[in-house]
Amino acid sequence: MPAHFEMFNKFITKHVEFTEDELVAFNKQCSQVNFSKGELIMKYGEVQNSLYFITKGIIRNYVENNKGEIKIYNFRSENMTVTGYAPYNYEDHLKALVNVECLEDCTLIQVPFDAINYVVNTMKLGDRLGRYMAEGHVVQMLHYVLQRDTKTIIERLDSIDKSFPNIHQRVPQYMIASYLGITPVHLSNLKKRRKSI
Amino acid sequence: MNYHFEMLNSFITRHVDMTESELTAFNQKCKIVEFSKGDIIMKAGEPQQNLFFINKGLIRNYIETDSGETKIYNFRTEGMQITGYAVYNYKDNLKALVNVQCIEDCTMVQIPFSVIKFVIENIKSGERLGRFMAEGHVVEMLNYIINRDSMSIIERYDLLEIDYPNIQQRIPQHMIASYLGITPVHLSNLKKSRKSSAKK
Repeated sequence: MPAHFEMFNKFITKHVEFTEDELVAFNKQCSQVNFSKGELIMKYGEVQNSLYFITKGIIRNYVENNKGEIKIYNFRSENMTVTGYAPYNYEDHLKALVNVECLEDCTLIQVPFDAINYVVNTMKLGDRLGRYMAEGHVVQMLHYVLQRDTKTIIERLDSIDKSFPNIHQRVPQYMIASYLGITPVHLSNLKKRRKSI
Repeated sequence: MNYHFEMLNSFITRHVDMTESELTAFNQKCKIVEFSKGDIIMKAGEPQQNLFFINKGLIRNYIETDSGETKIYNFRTEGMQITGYAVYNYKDNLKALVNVQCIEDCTMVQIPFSVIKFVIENIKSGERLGRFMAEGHVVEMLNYIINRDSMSIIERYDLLEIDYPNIQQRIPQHMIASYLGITPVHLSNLKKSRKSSAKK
C-alpha cells in the first residue's frame, strides 16, 4: 500500500477500529493529491466537496477582515485533517469558514464528502470517527480562545511549538505574529527583549 | 409524559431518529434538577459527571483570568445543552473548561456521562447524535472567534439579540459588556451614541 494511505489509515485506526476491508473500501473513494506552496486549497465562503488529510506539508487557516487584515487561526501539518470547517457548515451549504493555503508543497489525501457519507452510513464506527474528529476540534478551538484571553503573548509564543512542532523553522515570522495577534515588529521586539534579559 | 422530558426528546428527534422505547430507556436514566439564580453548576478545572439540558432558565459560560477579570464566552437558554466542554475533555479527566453559572432560577434535565455512554453503545443513532452535538459546537465556536475579530462591537451586540432572543431583558448589561469584551461604560456609551445618531 502506498505510504500516504498507510499514514491515513493509521490515523483512522488510532481513533476507531476499522476492519481491513472497510479501510480498503474507504481508501478506494479517496485520492492522493499534490498542491504547491502558495496554492489556496479552500476559499472562505465557497462551497466545498472534500476534506483532506496531510501526509506532507503545512497549511494555514485564516480569514481576511473588512480592513484587509489577515488573521491566522491555526496551522495544520502532517497527520492532521484540513476541513476549512466546511463539513460542519450544514446551515450554509458546506461553505468553507476559513481560507486554507499551502505554506509548503503539500501531499494530501483528498476525502470527498461523498466518501464521508459512505463511511458514516455504511460502517459501524463511521459516526464515532466523525464524532471524535468534531470533538477534537471543539477542545482545540476552546483552548485557542482561552489561551488568547488568559496567556501573555510570550507564553503563547512559547507554547506554539507544542501545538505545531517545528513551526519556527517552517513558517515565516510574520505569520506567527498574525497567529499571536500582534505585528511582526512587536514580535521581533519581544524576542529581542527576552534574549537580552 | 413529563413536559421536561418532552422538550429533551423533541430536541433529540430534531437531530436523529430515535424510537419511543429508546427515548424511554434514555429518559429513565436522567432526572430533573433545579438550580437557583447565582448557583455555579460547573467549576472550570473540576472533573464532571453530567451534562444538562435546559428546560427553563439561563446560564453563562465564563472564565476568570489571573488578573481577576471575568470573560463570558456564551450563554445558554431553553432548549440548549450545557456541557462546560467537560464531556469533550478526554485528555484531562473530563474536567470542565469553563465555569457555568445560573443567571436565573433554572430547571434542567441532568444527563450523567454514564447515560451518554449507554446511548452511544446501545442506541443505533446515539453515536450520530453525539457527532451532531460536537459538530454544532465547532461551528458555534468558530463563528464566535471570527466574529470577535471581524465584526464591530455594535454588530456583535445586535447579533447577540438574534442568537438569544430577549437577552437584553434577561441579562445584566455588565455581563453583555463582558461577552463583548468591553467595559460596561463603553457599552453604555455605544448605545447612547447610536440612539442619538438614530434621532438625527
